[in-house]
Amino acid sequence: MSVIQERGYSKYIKHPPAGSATPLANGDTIDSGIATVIDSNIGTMQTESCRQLVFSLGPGIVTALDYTNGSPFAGIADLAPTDAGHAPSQSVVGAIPWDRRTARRFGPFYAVADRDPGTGGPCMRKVVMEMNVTMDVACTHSDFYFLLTTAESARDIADGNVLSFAHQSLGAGVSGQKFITPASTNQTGAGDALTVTPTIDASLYTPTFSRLDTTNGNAESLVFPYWVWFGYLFQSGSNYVDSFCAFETR
Amino acid sequence: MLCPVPQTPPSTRLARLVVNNPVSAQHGREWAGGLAHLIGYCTTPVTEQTIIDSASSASPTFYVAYTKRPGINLLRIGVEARAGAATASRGRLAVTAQTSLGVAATTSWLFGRHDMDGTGTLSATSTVLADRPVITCYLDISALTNGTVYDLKFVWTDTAGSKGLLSFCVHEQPLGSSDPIASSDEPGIDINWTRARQGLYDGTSTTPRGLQRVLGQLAVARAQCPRQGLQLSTIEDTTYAWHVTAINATPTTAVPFGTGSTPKFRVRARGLYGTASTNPYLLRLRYQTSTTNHPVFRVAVTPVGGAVTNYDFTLASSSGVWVAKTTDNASANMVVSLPTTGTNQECWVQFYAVAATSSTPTAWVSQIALTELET
Repeated sequence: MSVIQERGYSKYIKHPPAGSATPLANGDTIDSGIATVIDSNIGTMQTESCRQLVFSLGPGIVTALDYTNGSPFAGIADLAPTDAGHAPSQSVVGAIPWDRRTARRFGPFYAVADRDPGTGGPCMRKVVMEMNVTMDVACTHSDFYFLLTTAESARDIADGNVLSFAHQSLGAGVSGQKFITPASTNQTGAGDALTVTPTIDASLYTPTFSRLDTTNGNAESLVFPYWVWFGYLFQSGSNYVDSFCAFETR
Repeated sequence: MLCPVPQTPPSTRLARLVVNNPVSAQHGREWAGGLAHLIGYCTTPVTEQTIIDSASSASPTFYVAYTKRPGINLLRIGVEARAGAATASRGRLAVTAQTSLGVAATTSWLFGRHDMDGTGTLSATSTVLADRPVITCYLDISALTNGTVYDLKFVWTDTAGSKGLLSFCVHEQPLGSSDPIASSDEPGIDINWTRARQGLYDGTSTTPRGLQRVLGQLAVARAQCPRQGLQLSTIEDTTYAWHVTAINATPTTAVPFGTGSTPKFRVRARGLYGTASTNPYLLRLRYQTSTTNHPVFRVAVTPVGGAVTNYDFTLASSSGVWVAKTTDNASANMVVSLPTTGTNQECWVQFYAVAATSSTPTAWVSQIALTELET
């Protein structure tokens, strides 16, 4: 786990609400006991501030693309031919065209950085990803791709903008509901996460608007935007992508 | 904000706190920075949705629930239009905010952009291109009331062969890294209070400064940062909305999803109070019923490695009118608790409709929103 803030307690300690009569009178110093509770509570909230990034239905039934007889890249006009040089079952980001038949994109999300325990520098949170699919037993092969990237466009994905990537495959004869995660094709236990290492690249921070004020000047915030992509390819049969989920975790 | 908003949380060492010694100004600055990071930088992705391919109405309407919180000035709204068979599909999009009673709220678009006010024409990317640009605009919501739930209404009007929206998102924009202009509802702690030799005094309920302010902002951060929004929206009409007509039919699979499997959604519960605590959420539905009978809506929650808990809510009838409700037929809040007992605090959420009798009406649901209800 990343270092955020030292906690004196393992949970949030309830305190009197603001506006109630507190035990401190004006002029009293705040002692270390109260300070420890406040410190610990802020640390607990930071630890538990993981956000749900994606909570979405999927596209439903997905058109099968038989990559043994025709590339999924066929008919896509704006991808370089070299992108089609990979068999779809290969574990590379260029294996699918990431178009609307084979992928869904979410974001951009503004990364919330924690601190890396080794360097103390900013460290991107791990992201759990899961695809919920319903397989047709007639499907002879299927591939699933998980991608965190700074690329908004499918054309840019293979250009070194990948933060983290994982690939899973299913063979013939699989049917019913499956929970696909970066490390499993039926993850019924805790979800596994994609990890971005080693740190967020400070040069990729970009300003974004926070407030427009034509009199006093605008306010901006520096953010690290990234995209969450889910890719899928079914060789045959009537298969469904039912839902997508992604969230930050510890 | 009253304090610079850091991109990374400050790292505090408890060892510097010595019993019986007063706290130094440095601690106050770290509290201010930590709270500013939580409140101003850990902003919430309100919703991220892709629309199922079979729900490809040319001119759809969607609703997204959003609860305004202090300090947030802008929402970033992104959409990807769905191209039809035409080579240059396009249409118009109008996004507005309204209360649950349909009363319009005052908002404006940053820089006066017309992309999402219903007057500009937006193109839908061709199906033969992998490049899929997102159309993004910033909605100024500073005039909305804090704590009120609003519906962001998306209306797409086709003008040339488009098929509605492929996906859309709504995100809160973080507060300015350094902003000298404080709004009237500014959250956080004024960092000037924490200067050395300056007393951090108690404050009162009417003048909530000093320690009162610190405690108050701790409560704000606990309740709202992040305020998770787990929500699904589909086209609000009786052709494409999820609908239920049979016993134990599931609204997300019956029509038009049709997979035979009920989608599961994996989420992580926020465990503020240890592993025995739960993470409460308030359910909000937009729905319509065909008769005066009452449908039952179920939220099934299964902690990873644990057993399912069903939350059943008998809905008030709407008799042919779309309504937005957070309360059931008995006017009680529809509260769902996510357990923190699952492995890694994870659980699955599923949605069902339950028809107890044959007189249960046909019901259509266009929005399912679970919003965190930490009090």
